Amino acid sequence: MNFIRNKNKLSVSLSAADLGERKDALVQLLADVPLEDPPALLIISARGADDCGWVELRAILSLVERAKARGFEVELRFPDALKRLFTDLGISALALT
Amino acid sequence: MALDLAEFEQAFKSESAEQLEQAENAVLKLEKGPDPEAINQLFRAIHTIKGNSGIVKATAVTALSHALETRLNSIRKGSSSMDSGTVDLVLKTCDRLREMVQALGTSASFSNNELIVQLEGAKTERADAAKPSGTSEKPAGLRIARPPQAMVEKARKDGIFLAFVSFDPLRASLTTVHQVHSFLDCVREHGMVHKPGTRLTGDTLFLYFFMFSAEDPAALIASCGGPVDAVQILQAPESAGAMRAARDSFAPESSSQSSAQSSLQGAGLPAAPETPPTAAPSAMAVPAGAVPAAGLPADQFLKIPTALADDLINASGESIVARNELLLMAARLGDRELAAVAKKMSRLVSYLQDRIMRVRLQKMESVFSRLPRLVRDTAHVTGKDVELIVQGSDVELDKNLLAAVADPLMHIVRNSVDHGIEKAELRRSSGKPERGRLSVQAALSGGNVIITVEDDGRGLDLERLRSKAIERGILSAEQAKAATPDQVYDFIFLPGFSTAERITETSGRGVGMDVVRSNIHRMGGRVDLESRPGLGCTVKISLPQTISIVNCLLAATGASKFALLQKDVDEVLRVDPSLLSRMEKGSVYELRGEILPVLDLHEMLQLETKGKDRYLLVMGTDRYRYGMLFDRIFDQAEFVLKPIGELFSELQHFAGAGVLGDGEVVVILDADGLGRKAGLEPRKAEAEVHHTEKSQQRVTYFLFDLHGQQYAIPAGLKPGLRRLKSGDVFFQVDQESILEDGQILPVIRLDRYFGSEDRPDQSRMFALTVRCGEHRVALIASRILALVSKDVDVALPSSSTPGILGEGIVNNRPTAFLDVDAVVTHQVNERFHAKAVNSDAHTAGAAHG
Repeated sequence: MNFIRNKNKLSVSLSAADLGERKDALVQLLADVPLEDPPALLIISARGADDCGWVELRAILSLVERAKARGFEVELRFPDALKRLFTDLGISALALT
Repeated sequence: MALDLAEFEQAFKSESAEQLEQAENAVLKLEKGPDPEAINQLFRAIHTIKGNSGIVKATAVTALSHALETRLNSIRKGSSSMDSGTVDLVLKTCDRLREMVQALGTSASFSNNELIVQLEGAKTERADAAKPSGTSEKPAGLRIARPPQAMVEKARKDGIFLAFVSFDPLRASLTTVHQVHSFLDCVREHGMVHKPGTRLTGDTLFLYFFMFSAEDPAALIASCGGPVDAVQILQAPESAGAMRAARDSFAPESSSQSSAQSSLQGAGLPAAPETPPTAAPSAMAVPAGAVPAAGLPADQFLKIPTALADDLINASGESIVARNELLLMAARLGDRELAAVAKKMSRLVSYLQDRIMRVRLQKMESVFSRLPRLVRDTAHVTGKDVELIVQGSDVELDKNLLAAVADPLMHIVRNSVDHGIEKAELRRSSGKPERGRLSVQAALSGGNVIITVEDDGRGLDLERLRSKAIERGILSAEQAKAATPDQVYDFIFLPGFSTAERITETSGRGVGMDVVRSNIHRMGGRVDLESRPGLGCTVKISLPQTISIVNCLLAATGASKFALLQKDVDEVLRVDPSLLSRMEKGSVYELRGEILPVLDLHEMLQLETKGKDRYLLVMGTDRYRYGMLFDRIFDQAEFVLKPIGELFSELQHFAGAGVLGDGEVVVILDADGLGRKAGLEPRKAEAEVHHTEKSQQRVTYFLFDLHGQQYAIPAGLKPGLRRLKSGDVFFQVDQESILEDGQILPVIRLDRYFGSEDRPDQSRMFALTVRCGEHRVALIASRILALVSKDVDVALPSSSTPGILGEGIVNNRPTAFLDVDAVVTHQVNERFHAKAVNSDAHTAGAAHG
């Protein structure tokens, strides 16, 4: 996992492996993503991932929730197949781009 | 209208009992090694219980079976293994499920937390690993405070369920988005998922959705692998018919899906997506009762309450009595037309009775399927290795008898493993295979079901039983010594009689075998025991296949009328007094060369009057063969077998009682019980009795007397008996002989043989004809005394003449135990020698002459 701070954007890049099951480190890392001013846009991306652990999804959504609470805009950039699964499960309320 | 679930509850209980039996058998197979079919069978059984428990709202059963199912699923997927600890845990859970299912409708409560924690062990570990530290207890699911009215109305109007489902997928081992999605797909196969979503609450990411379905939502969710407590029913159909439809939806065919779909389409809602049915969920949810037996379509079966079947049986029994009465009346009145109608009705009553009895027949399998678990557990506790062989599971027995024989059978099997079969090291040292063998088989024989439990263990210790009987004051030392093995084995059926040195978890408390026998006897059956010291033990339970209607032959002696089970009567003969010989104890009858012991009912049953000995009934069971004398033989009769009551239940020689057409009550005699009471040697023993134990002879002997000296020859030689008339003995050259079956048989006079003084024949003499090798000879006897079977201390013979095995005391008289072979050989040699000497002398004389 990488996260890059660039002006008003905070980018968190996750690998397919990061989203696999039982990646405890990811859960902890996402919990520790610093949501500080001045960035106002959180971009979470996971390229090449075709599945996502429920625990990992929870950590992502938790991060999204915290970011929103801090006034961040959030953008998720996930592969289409995974996005369709999210939509089917009713996770479409998120800004999936 | 409130839903009446009582009917489903009853069906659930009986179906779950069957499923649990199947589950246990599958576990025992898995214990022996990996078996994909067994794990699937186990999974299906638990899955079915879980699904059905949702219908009857047995939530605790659902929760526990869900935990078990989840564990089994992880084994199926190879995430965990079926080690011995898991086997124990699964069996323990099956036991608990059985208790809970049977306790449905009572106030009994069970604490399953510990079991669930153990079952979830693997899963919890995984979930814990994924869980951030310091996570607190999670809520089971989201709760909806106010159901959306539009949806509720829709469900009510269409008569289907509306439910709100929410849960943490991790609780159901759904650990990835793909798995959660597949779960939703599964739900969509049976119902309509509406407005799915996720909600993050604390550390939990809940999945939620609304669901319309014709099936019970809890069962549906469970069948897709979700937790049952995730379901909050917002609207349920009011008619019980819908519930039945919900239950029927567990049928193996995919009709459930199509019915759900059509129901939804009829309701004007969009149908669930047409997905090809996945084999697992539909195949998993088949309750045993839904599977048609013997390949017949399900609609050819009708479930009726047991109480109704009982009523039919009772009414059928009464109709037999009334039928007998009518037949008697028709015979008395001598009215031909009435007699014809009575006979026609009699045939119909017999036919009806036969068919009604079949209504209640069930396969032995329902009892036998419990044995593997029992044997496994008992063997574990006692540290033994036992192979169980079960045969005859297809044999059918009356439902009530089956239920009643189950506990006695379990007791006998437990005893065999605990007391009979030895531990591996002991077996090895005795030259036996380390693994004990226990065979349980059922067979149908002449209207009776014979259940045989046979082990290859140590057998019963006859001497220990004798000592115990003396110690407990049941018998004097003298009586114990005189008792036959059958009589000694009978002691273990006495209340509180146990030779176990220690009280174990499984047995040794001396309770049980008395209850076993009295229970079986109460059902009109009997239990017999045969032991082969050091080789094993066989317990045989014999029960009528259907309760109660028995074919009997009526016979009387003096003023007493008895019924004898027709199957036990081999033949009826008019007595020829010349073939009947009274002995000091009892009588024998010469039946076509066979010496048949004859029981004296007058003496045995202490009857007031003694009849004339006109007819001989030759009784033949698989255990005994003997004769009984009667002075009148009546017709055959069918009886409703009635137990003879608690007070007389210990009397093994009565099988029960029956009521004749005129209301007279007759006692039905038990042929085996009489044989045992008379101390007869069982048939089979003839071949086996010739072994000796220590210094004692355990053989059935035929006792006879010649001029005051008592002799004994083994009954196994099957001596023929003949009373000699004047002129029967003649000289063939210089050898005394008799003519028998066209053969000239040499006569042996034992007094002369042993060098005693020759004494004149008395007016009544007998010839005992015996075959020894190629020779057949006649032993002369002045009195026929008895057939005896008892342990006799035998001392070495005082005479040096060949032909005496030993000497002992029988019936307070010194007795010479004959070695007939030696007598005959010696006699032949003597004669040959004598002839040779005579011949030499003759030759010498001729030479001199």
